[in-house]
Amino acid sequence: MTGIPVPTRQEIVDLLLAVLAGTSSRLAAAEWAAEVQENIESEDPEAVDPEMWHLLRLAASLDVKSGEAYLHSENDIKEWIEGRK
Amino acid sequence: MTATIEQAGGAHLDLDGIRHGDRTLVIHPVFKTGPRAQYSGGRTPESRLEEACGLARAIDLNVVAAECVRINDPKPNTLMGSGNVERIAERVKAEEIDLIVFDASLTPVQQRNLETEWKAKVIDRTGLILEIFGERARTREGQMQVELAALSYQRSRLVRSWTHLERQRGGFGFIGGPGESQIEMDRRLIDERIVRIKKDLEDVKRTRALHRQARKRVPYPVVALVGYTNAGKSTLFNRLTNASVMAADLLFATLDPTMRRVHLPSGREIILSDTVGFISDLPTELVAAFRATLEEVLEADVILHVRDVAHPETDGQKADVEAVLAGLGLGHEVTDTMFEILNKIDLLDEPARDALLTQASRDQRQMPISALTGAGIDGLLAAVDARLAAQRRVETYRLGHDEGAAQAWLYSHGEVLERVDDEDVTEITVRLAPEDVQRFERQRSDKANAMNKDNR
Repeated sequence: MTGIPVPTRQEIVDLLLAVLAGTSSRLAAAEWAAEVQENIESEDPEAVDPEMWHLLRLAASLDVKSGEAYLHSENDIKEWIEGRK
Repeated sequence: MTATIEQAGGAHLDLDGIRHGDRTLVIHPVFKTGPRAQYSGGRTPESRLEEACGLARAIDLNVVAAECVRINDPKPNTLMGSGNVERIAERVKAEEIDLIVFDASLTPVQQRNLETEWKAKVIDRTGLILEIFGERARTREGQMQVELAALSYQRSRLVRSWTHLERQRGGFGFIGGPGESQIEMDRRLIDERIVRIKKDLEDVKRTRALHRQARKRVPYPVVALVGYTNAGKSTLFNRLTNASVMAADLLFATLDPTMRRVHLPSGREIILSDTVGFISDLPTELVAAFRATLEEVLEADVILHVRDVAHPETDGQKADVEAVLAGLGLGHEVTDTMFEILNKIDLLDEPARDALLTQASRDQRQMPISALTGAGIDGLLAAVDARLAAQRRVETYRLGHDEGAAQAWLYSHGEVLERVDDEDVTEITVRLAPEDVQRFERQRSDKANAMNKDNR
């Protein structure tokens, strides 16, 4: 068990809101989420919150593109935040 | 359709200044001797001719005439004999043909001599397919891949007069000194451009590598569509995703991969990926250029090989697709995850449809559908759902509350079906791939052993 910072669901929601507002780029958000995910997987934090974890994994794929567009639309992100997906 | 070697976008990789709407004669040669007599892909010459006409129409050429020409004794200078050359010259003149599409490979000398004899432009199959890809590519990487393939093709044909290259040379900086022949200059221009594109492609590939890593982070299985061009992949993609990807009755309508999320009947979400279609005699330059894209598709959890069962040469098309897959080094290992989607059953007459349905009922990997009408789509989705579920085992693990990494690992690699938390432990029921079950249990065992050792 180490002291790595495990984000809360609300912290990830705030990040997604920042992406929607344009104050954070998708790439930066995805890179942060991927790094946190890798840290959690490789170290041993306290029990993970499944809702936070699901949202973290989605956030880690924010930058994936389909052709010239993003795989996840802004509406998708809003639905994640509302917990509908 | 005129463009230049310098054009970075590569939207039109002009091979000799052909234009939309050119009055076009399509010729499919039927070889009676020599190595090319062996290969027909199980198709009739008429079918091959019709496909070549479709390729020509794909870039808006005005096909006004088409014919099969028997070639008994291939000639090094003109491929066909003088009688055929003269007869076609008369036809070209009488029907005011601008362009002849030759549905086979021509050497540069043959191409130049036929153009001289027929007083019209001549393009061979490779050149035509490169032209189509050049028009269709939308992403920067796709455009560069096509341009690289076209340059490799052009470099091999420098026997011809490439005056337009000379005109473009200002765009490439310093150009050779006195005494350099036209061909040497042209070759150097192309080589310089190839080096530049390869360097740019390397940068894109690094981005793509990051992309692939990112794509692997998408927490859904990937289902990829492959198939012969015009088999109905994009229509099926639209049907399954309610999207509006271009689904035209055109060869190679889709060139750049497109992905969307789809809900399966169980509620499971997947990523559906639509890709470029295959075709017989795909130019080697293009296979090389698109190899990375194709390989990526084949990393999918499930592959749907979409077939046009109403096409008279459906078996030949299937063989061609399998040949491309085998050429990528992917054969038997993908068949376990592949379904054959027997598309366009709405175009079959009743007896043929009944026979197909009977045949498919004996093989769980064959799914008869009509992407256009929606027939069979529910069954297809259920089968994909079942396949994804069958690839995994259901296990239940009791983990301590301090085993956050183990919990995260299960959430990352599996589909958590149930989670029960009590005071001492968290019980997680999860669906995992068999190899992940082994990996997870080995990791836990190693960790427990290490802890026991520390405690001693």
